[in-house]
Amino acid sequence: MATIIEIENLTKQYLGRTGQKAVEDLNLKVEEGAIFGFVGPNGAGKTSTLRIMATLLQPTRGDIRVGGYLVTQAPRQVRAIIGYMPDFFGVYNDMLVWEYLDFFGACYNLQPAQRKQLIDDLLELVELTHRRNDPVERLSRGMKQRLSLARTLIHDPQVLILDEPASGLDPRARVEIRELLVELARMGKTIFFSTHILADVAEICTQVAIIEAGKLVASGALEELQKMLMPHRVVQLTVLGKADEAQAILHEDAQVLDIQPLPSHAGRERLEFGYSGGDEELSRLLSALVSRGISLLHFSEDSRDLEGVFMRATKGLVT
Amino acid sequence: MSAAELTQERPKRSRAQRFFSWLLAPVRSLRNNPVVLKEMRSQMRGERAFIIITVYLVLMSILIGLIYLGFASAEDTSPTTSIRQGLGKTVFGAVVGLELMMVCFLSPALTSGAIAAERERQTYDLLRTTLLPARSLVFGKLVSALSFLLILLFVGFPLQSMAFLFGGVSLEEVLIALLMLVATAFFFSGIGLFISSFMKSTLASTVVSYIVAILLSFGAPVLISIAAIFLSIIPQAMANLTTFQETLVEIVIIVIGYAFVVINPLATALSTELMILEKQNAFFITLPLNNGWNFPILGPWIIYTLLYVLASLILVWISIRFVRRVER
Repeated sequence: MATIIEIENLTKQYLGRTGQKAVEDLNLKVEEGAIFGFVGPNGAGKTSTLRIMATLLQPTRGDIRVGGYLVTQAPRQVRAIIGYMPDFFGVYNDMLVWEYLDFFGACYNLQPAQRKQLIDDLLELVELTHRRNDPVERLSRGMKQRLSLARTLIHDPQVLILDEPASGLDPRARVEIRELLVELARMGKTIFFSTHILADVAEICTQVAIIEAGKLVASGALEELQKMLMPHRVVQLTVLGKADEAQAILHEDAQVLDIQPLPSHAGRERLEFGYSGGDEELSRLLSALVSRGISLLHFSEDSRDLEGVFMRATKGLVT
Repeated sequence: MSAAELTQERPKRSRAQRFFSWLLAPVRSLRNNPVVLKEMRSQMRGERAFIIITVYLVLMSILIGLIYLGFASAEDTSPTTSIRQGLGKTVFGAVVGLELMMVCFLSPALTSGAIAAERERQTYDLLRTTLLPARSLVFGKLVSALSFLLILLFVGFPLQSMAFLFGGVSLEEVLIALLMLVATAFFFSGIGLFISSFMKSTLASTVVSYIVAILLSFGAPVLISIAAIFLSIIPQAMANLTTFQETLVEIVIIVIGYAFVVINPLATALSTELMILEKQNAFFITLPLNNGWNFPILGPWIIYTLLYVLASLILVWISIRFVRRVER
């Protein structure tokens, strides 16, 4: 796949803040069509990077190439191929939903007839057709975020740069935004988004970069990062009784590490253990448990794996 | 959509073509600029526009009514033509004065939040990442503010035209007043826009814009008063000067006084009216000096209009530069 975003030795130091760099020697490549999660704690330099990418901020050193255009040399060309959504929702209180999209469409030099059709299509995509003639200020936060996403799509950009798109949303709205991002990736868009919600990253990202104190600490596909940073996987199982027997079977496997009993609940015994083997070995272990009469209710890898990756990668330098 | 399609790469143009294109940008803005439509919609929605227009017309009606009653109560018998003309001139002068004050103090209110409010609403970044040029954003804000001011001037025409019923007002005076009003609106809107282009808060921007507007509206008359006091003591100081030195001092005083007049809208309007009343010429007069020479003076409204339009263009240009600037 071709590279669509290339960050080269990017450094950003704000005027008047000597010594402290918001971003330092950042190098990244994002493939076309990827959903790229840019993860880091607050103050890590995520927003600075995204603002430079969106042509809003001048880098101190280095540059970013988007679709072959340098953000510092050809900002207009970059703006034409990106859709930028900041971590806040800019509101024109007295505008209707369709007017909001129409205004931004006109800002991208789209003709009125073209805009009309696009607005209908986009409102359908973000499921806001029924709110077409409502004032923007009356929308819920989740709806505003979806409208904001529709705004970023009005000129059919190749790349979406989204700063904390799910921040502050309720669980349903978060899921809706996540589904929308997957749908957009399916439509061929490259999505570069910053977040500190690890569940979102685990759910949808094809590539991840972890940044801390302005420096890149890890990047790659999620599985690669897991392999790199987590020496073994963590598995949880729930059994109906016979917990001791299950433990004994687990002990027989040399690749099982650190078996920890978890608090039991309503007669269900839970165990957690580290596992250094691959998928096939783990599958064989599951078969062994079942064949030896253990009543298994649940057997899965720990969903907090990404948190483990994140905790191992970062040092808690910035909070 | 590709970057080239959206950005519409144009063939290279000569410097002259680019200059004329830049000059015509405000005209193009009216037709294609999305900011104009958005701002005008937002200005005319809600009660604000209705309240401003109503208050303005009520004030103007009261003013005209009081002037008429003043004249009517002073005259027992049927008024002569010259009294009617005097009434016409007074009504016209009062209406223009009120319009000038309205323009001086409403223009900054309409533009001082233009860019700062975008920053406050957090829509500034959204606009800056679109293909909307900084020039279109600034012109859009300016054109919409000027349009609202023109609406106010337009709705005042029926009341202003009452002066024509009484007579005494020439077409020349009407056109000069209109030109001055437009130049004043342009300049004071430009001040608000300029301050708004670099300030982050609408409140701070409005306060600073009003300080500048008050200084220009009332500061200059204070300077003129000081100059007048200075002029009154000059004859004693000039007792020991040669004729040439005396003439030179006289010329310098006239030029300084003239400069103070042409930076203030009311002083310019009044001095222009005085020129018309006393010399019957709004364009050019001569002032007799002590040595018998005549010193030529252009109608203050000419220099005022040129000065205000030029200053407005400079303010707009700097505002565009500020908006275009990428944050460092």
